[in-house]
Amino acid sequence: MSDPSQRPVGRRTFLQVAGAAGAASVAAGCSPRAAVQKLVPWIVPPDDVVPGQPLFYRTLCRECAAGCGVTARTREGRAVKLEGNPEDPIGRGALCARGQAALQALYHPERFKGPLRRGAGGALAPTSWDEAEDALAQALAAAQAKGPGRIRLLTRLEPGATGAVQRAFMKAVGARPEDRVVLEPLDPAPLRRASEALFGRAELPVLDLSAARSIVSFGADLVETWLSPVELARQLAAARGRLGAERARLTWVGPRLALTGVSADRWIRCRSGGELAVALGILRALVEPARGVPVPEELRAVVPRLQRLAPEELAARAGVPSGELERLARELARRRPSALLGPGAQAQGPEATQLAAVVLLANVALGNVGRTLRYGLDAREDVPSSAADLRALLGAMSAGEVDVLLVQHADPVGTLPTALHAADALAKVPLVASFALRPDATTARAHLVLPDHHTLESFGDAVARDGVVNLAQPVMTPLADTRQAMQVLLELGGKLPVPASFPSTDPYDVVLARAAEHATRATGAPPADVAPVHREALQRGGYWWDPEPRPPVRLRPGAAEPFLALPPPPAADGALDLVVFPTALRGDGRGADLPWLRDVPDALSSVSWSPWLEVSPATAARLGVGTGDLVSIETAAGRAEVPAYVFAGIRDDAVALPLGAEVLSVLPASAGAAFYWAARATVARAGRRTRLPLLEGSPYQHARELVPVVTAAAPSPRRPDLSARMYREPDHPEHRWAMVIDLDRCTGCQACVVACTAENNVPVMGADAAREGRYMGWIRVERYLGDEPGGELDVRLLLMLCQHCTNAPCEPVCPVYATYHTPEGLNAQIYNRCVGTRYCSNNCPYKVRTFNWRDARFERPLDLQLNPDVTVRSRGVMEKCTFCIQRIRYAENLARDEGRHVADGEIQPACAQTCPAQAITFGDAKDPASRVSRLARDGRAFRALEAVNAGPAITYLARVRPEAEP
Amino acid sequence: MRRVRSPHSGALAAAGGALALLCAAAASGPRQPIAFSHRIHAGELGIGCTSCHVYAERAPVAGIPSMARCQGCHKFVKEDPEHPQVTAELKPLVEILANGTAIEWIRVYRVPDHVHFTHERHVLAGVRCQECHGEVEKMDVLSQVTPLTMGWCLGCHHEKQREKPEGRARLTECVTCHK
Repeated sequence: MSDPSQRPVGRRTFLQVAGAAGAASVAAGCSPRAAVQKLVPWIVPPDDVVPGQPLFYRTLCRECAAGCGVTARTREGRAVKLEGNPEDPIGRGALCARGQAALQALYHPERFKGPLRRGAGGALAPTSWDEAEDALAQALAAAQAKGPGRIRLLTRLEPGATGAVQRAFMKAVGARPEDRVVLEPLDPAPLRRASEALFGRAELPVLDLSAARSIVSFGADLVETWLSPVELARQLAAARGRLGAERARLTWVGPRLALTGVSADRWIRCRSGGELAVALGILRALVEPARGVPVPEELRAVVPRLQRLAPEELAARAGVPSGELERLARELARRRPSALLGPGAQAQGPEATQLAAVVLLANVALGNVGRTLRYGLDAREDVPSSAADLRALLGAMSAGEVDVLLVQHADPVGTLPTALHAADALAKVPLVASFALRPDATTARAHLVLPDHHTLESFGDAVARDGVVNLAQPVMTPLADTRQAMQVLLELGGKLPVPASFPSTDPYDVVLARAAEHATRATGAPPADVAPVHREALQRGGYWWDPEPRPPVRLRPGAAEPFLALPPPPAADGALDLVVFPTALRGDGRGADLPWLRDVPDALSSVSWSPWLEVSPATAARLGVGTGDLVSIETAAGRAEVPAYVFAGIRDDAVALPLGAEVLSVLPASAGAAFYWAARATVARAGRRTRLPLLEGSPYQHARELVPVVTAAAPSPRRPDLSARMYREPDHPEHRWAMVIDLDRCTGCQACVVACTAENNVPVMGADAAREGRYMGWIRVERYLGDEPGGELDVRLLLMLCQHCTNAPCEPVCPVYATYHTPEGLNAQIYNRCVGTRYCSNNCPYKVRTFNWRDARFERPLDLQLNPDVTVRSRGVMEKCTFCIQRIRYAENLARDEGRHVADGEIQPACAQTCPAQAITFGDAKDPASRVSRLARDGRAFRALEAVNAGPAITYLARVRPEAEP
Repeated sequence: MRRVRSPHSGALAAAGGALALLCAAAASGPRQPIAFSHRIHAGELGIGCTSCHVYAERAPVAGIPSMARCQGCHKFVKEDPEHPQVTAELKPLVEILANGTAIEWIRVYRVPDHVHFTHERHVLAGVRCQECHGEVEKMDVLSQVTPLTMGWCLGCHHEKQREKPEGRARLTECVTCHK
């Protein structure tokens, strides 16, 4: 060791001495920071925990109804990251943005710390579990004595042990089956209704889009929220990954372009509610005898009826050019099999069930049923109630017919249209008991709060469909004095006047009792002892088996006819159509208060932290508003004020609102099966402005061709000649880490963005920072709407993250050598060297570096989620994507311990790992056989701003635009 | 474990490092809750380091022995009838073990949070514990004998790299420790 005092005084020595002299005069102890740290050993060390090493548990995601399997990475007994379970048939290792954010529900600072009871003063006050359960048991006993219907349960979809216990419990208190209402606001209830009417099966088809050559979506946002978005995004990518004519085409039908529509090859820009006319037009064209397509026997009877519909009238009602439906029908007839999907939440209105039926009939006509849409696989373990069932419940509550309402992970006040008057109905119930995790609009009206464990703290199972049972197990000890809702019900059962005969009050026993059946289905024989079989299943994540083939469904005779008439046209009232849509980040709004989901900008509008109203440029001009101007929206249901966002991807006669608490007042109360309906709205300028938190600068490419596309005629993007070299190429003796992003697969779902945020301790800075352009994300979805404003709408997405350039412009401008090129090709950022000049960010052509303008706050216990392998950056420091250097080192370390080299594909940055469409590939560009090298040689390859000649390590594969078919 | 933010700049890091150096020179080690002696355990009794610091060969942290591990020996070694002083010194431990609580040790060695040090790679590379922690087996009271500054780390890393340049490029790379 060299003594600093022996060297001549240099910059470093000077700073050392100066710093030491200054700090020594103020610091009494030895360090300017916390002087004393305690090391507290375990009493008894857990067998499987090695401090500093991750421990993985397989469990379950319950953020939506899909039921994906999850691998939870834990460190020192706390969950720090969620990833998909690679063995799970639904997610196959991928996880969506909302699934990634489930961790923040676990560590939410506002989570209930224990049971609460509303006191005489009207405020919720802490109570004990015994008191809370006793109070509830007494109320239940009193209500039960009054006869059936006095006790109701409102729950989210619980397709597993919890649902089974709920049903058994309700039976034990003498409730009727209809007294348990399952609230799943985004459930495609119209599709269930139509399936029942046409095929006699009230269930949802299980989809296999990977086989389809043509996919038509009627507002079904299949890469965002519809049914099972992770699975459908993967299937869509597979269907589009085929070459040439075999490549599947996606058509989006609707008044506004959703993110799924951006992935589509064609947008049929029908008016809101015109989806039905489009579907009828397609069905009519398909059964046209002149087409020469054999009409299935079961549909022959309806042909004359369909022929009475005039194609021109259908096109006019849809608001699209008349040839367009005919062209689509021709394509469908040619490209088989296909899949017509819908409706999604944004295509729902009074005719939603009819639309669903016509879409299904078109699938019948094309022979898709049984191929791309399979019936009989919906396990129907639990079935969401329709909006009519909920209205009945709210009616009974309002009429004072309900004495006890149990609410489990449902928030009728905070997620459903205000016009349903759920708040008033709740006020009429003498005892509302909620099992919520954290405060919501319903717990604000509850008399008892019995906080549930988070899924990551619970035992459970979910039957996603026939053949897929995913299991939940606790990955950490509960953070607070919470109790699993299933256990509370089991305990309450024992306190009833006639105690329910539940064999155990332990949720694990309930799951284990059900496991025997799953294991029998999975292995074909009942296990002699289920416990060891179940232990293995828990390690794997579930029970999976190939279901027996199902008999094909048949169209019931005469079932189709009622759906074939075109309803009367809506009255012309001069109002605009109001479309309500869910987004990939916020879903039905139940998780919309999670900081990650609020902070990540919407992929299409780039808005964060705020609702917005999408208005077309022409309508905006007519109303005299621009982006950020407040507009008032008035419907028959109510009024709201929301900032406008001028968006070229919406019809002039429509406006669109993302679902969320802010818009519930204007939504009509549905009279049908679906919860959300389109409405007619009067929109006017409110006269005030707000600064909308927007990520985008300009949504246009301004003829720079930043994101090229390829066609069959021009299969490769133009690339600049870079043979003249100005710089000496750096050496990469061992590896050159590189990435390929296939923009043909990328859907912009933002799963990667949230995964990166979780993995790399990316701070959430809030709405004000977003307004200042200080959003901190390391990876973003850039969206371009076309070349110039007013030009042709041509939406292109580009995933933008640090390009880890060979000749990185950020490096030479750093005065303190805080950023440099590593021998492995990474552009490293050394936080403790950084002095915050921001020169690097100014010199970065990709604008992927973010600066910590202030210290990030990780409010307890959100800090427990922080990844210990990544430094938490402080104020004044620049940061950016590291290609997940900690994951590279982890894989290398593991390989070294096992005496081998790292295999290709073994290292996966968080973004690549979670991508549902498998659009991101990471690997060693020095190895010509690696997957990343092979993909980079693809003809579709291009690099971002290649002419700058920074030598990015990221190669993009251009989106394919299919040729127009005759 | 509490997380402490990284310092605001390289300059402060250097200043902090200098402080640590000054302290290390002056330190005699903090007073621990019980008078545990490495000299007796590692020296006289010849117990190997990894017998108690069990994770050193397979994890970033070496690990503080669990109370169960203390108990493993000390359920037999509770007193020494011939040496009342030893019995007196063991008394606090015996009490803590009987209570089932943990000893809250004062931390002696620490690196800042922006340094990702791993014991595993150092131990497996044949670095002896004493090279960083000093002759622990001779210490009654453990004190920090090396500065743990970046310059001190690099002194050794440079040397090892000079011994065998190929395949050891990473020894002096920033991201090896700072990520």
